[in-house]
Amino acid sequence: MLMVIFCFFFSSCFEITEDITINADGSGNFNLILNASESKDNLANYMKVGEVDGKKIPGQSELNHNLVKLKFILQGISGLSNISIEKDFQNFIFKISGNFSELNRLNAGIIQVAEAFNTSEFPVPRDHNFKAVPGEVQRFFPYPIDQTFYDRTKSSVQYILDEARVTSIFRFSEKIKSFSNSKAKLSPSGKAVMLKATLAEISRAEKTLANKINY
Amino acid sequence: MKTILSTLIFVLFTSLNLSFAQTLQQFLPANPTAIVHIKPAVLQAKVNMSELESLEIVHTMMDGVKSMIPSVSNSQDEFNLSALGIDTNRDMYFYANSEEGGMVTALVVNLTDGAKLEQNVKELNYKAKSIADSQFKTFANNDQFISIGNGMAILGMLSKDPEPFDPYAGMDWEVEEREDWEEEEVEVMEEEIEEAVEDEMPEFEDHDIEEDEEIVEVPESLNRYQNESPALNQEWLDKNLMKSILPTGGLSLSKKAKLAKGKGVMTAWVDYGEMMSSISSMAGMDMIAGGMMEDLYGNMYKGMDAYMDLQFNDGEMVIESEYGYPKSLTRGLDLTDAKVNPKFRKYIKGDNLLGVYSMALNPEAYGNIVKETMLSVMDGMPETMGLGRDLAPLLGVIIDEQAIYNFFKGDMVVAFTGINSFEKTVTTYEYDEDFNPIEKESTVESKIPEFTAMMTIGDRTNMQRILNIGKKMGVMESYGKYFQVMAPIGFDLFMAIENDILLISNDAQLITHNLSTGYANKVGGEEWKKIKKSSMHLFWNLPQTMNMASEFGFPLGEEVVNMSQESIKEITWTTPRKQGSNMASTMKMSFVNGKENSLKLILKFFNDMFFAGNSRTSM
Repeated sequence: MLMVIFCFFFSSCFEITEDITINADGSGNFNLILNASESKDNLANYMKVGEVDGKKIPGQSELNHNLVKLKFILQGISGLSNISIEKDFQNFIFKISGNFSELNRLNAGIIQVAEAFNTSEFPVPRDHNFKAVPGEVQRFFPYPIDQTFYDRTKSSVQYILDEARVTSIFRFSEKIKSFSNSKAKLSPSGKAVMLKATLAEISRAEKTLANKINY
Repeated sequence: MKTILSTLIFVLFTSLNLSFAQTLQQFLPANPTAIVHIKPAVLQAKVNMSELESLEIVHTMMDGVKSMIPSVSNSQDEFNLSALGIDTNRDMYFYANSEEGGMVTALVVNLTDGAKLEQNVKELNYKAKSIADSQFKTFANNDQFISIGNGMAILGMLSKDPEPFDPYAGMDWEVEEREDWEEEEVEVMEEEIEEAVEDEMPEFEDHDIEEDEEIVEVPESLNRYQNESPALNQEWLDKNLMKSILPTGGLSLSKKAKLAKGKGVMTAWVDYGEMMSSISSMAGMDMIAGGMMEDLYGNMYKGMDAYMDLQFNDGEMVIESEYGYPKSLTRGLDLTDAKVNPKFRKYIKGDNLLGVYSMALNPEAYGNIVKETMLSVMDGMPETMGLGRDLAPLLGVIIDEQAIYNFFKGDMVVAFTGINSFEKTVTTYEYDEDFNPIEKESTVESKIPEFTAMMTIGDRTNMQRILNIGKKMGVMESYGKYFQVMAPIGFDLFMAIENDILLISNDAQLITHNLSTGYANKVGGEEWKKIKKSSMHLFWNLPQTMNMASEFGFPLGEEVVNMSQESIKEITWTTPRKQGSNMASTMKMSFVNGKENSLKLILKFFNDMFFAGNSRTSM
C-alpha cells in the first residue's frame, strides 16, 4: 500500500530494493534502498511547492526528522543493531541498513515503524513478512491485493505502476537447495536468489514477493 | 427537339423527387427543435455501395442490427435495411420537436415494402393502435410508435417530462386543532443520583453481516414518479402520437432554406436554446434549484442556432457548420472581426509542426456575449424578479470592462512543434555474481512534446505585475527577462513578455536565447496565410502525432501508426474572419489517397485496424 501511495508522487521511475544476507548462524544484515533518481527533478519541485493534488509534501527538514525517528525505532528493537541511514537529497536515493541476530526480528521492526508512522484510524496489520528456521527462509507478502485496481485506475497511475520496480535479494553463505517462487532467479554462484517485479505486476497478482527458500 | 425532351425529362424527374420529398416533409413539424436530412443518393453518386457493404466492419455493424430484429435474426442471409422494407436509396428525415410537457423524436422514411415492415413490427411486440381518420396503420409499444402508410413510415418516440416530485403525494394530513391549550405545571422532583456503576460490557461475537442484513425496501412514496397518474401519462402519449402522424404542411420556409444549403449526405439544423432547455428538462434539471438550471440552459443559448452539413468527398471528409446568434448578444459588434498579431509568426516553428491552433476574437464582442447571456439568464429567472439588467450597471463600479478589453486583445496561438529532448543523469544498479548491487551512474534521454503558446497583451505593466506576484508566491522564479514556472509538472516551463506578446513555452532555447529573433525556421507562408485570414484555425498532423505518441510509449502499436501515416494526411478546421452574427466553419479530414471517396477510406481504415483488412467478398 505504501508503494502505491509513493506512486502518486512520482511521474517517472523509482526502484525499491530489499537486500538480505543470512549467515550460517541465522544472523545477517539487511539493506533497504529507495532509488528515485529518475524522478529527482519532479521530487525537487514537489518539495519546493509543498503540495501536489491537495496532498501535503514534506520538505527536506521534515524528511530528515522522519529518518531520524525511523533509525531511533529500529535501534530500539531487540535483535537489530548497527542501524544506519544514508540520504542523498540531490539524487533522491535513501538507504536503510543494519544487522539482525535472526531474520524474524525484522518483523518487529516493520510493525513498530508502521505503527509509529500510522496516521490513519485503522490499526496496522501485524502479519509477518519473514520467517526463518535453520535451513529455510520464508518471505511472505501478506498484503491484500485488489487485482482490479490496475484496470480501474487512470492511465497516468498505470504508467507509474508499470515503471516502478521492486527487487528482492536473499543471499546465503551456503548453496540454495530450492525456492518456491518460479519468477525468481538463482545467481551463478548458487548462493543468492533475486526476484524482480514491477508494481503493476504485483498489483495484478502476476508476481509476488513471497518466496520459500531452502538452503 | 432532343434538348426539349431532355429538359422535360429532367423537370419531370426533379418534380417527382420533390414530390416524394414533399410527402415526407408533410409530416415534419413546421418549427422543430432539431431536424436532420439524410440524402443517400448523394453518397451513392460518389461511391460504389457494394464496395462498402463488402467490408467486414460494415457486416459486423449490420449483424449487430440484425440480431435485434426477430424476423431476420436467425436468417443466414446477409442483412441490410432494405430487408425491413425501408427504402435506403431515398431521402429520410429525423427530427426532435419540443411539445408541451415533453419531446417527440421521429425518423420519417420512404418504404419499398410496407408489408415487410409491418411484419417486423408485429414480431417486436408492438400492438396495433386504432386512430380514427388516420391514413396510417399505427403500432405502439409504450412510448414508441411506428406508423405505416402511403409508402412511408414514421418511427417515433414520445418522451414525457417527469412530474415534479411531491414527497407528500398520497398522504392525508390532518392537523388536529387543540382549543384548550393550557400550560401544565411541571413538578420538580429531587432524586438521589446513585453512583454510576460500570456494567460489564456484553461480548459481541463477530457475525457475518450478510446473515443479519435486512434488505431495505424503498417505500413507494420515495418513488420519483409515484404521484404521476398512469391515465395522465397515456393522455399525453396519445395526444402527441396523433399530432405526429397528422400532415402539418411541412417545414417552415426558414428551416427549408437552411436545409437546402446542404450539399452533403447529411444536413442538420438545431435550435440551441430550445434543445438545451428540453435536454435539461428531460435530465431532471427542472428539479434542481426550483427549475433554475433549466432556465439557465434555456436562457444561456436563447436565440442561437446551429447548422451542419456532412460531405464525403474524394480524398476528404468535410463538415461545414454555422452558428448563428442574435446581433443583440454582441450589441452589433462582429465577434470575428479581429486579427492574429503578425509578430506571432516568428514564434511558430515551421519544421515538424504537429499542430497549431489560432484564435482571434473581438474581445469587446465576446465580453458583450458573456454579459448579455448572463443578464438574460438572470432576467429569465423569476427569483431575480427581473432585476438583472438593473443591477448590471452597478457592476461597472467594480469591473472596468475597458481595462479588460485593453489587457486581453483576443488573439492567441498554441503550436506543438515536435519533441523536446533533454538528458539527465540517473543512478541504476547492476548486480554481480552474488547479486551484490553495484551503483552505476548513467545518462538517459527524456522526451516531452515541445509547445509554444502566445497571446497579445495590451497592458504590459500589469502583466509584469502578475508574473511578479507569481514569483512572490513561489510558483515562479525570475531570471531577468523570463520566468520559470516552478510547479511540479515534470518539465521546464517558461514565460516571458516580448514587446506586447506573452509567451509560454517549454522550449528553453527560444525563451532564454531567441526571444527577440524567434525561430529561424518559422512556419511556412501557406499555413501562416490560413492563420492570418481566420478568426479561428486548427491544423493537426494526425499521423505525426501518433508517431510521436508511440515514441513516448503509448501502446498504439507500429501497425496502427503505419496505417495512420499511410491513410490520413491532416485535419484542419477554419472559421473565416468578419462574418457578422453567423460563424461559419469548415472542418476537413484529408487523406493521402486523394482519389477515393473519404467514407470508403475511413471504413477501410477501421476495417484494417480491427479486422485485419478482411472483407467478405473481394473488392
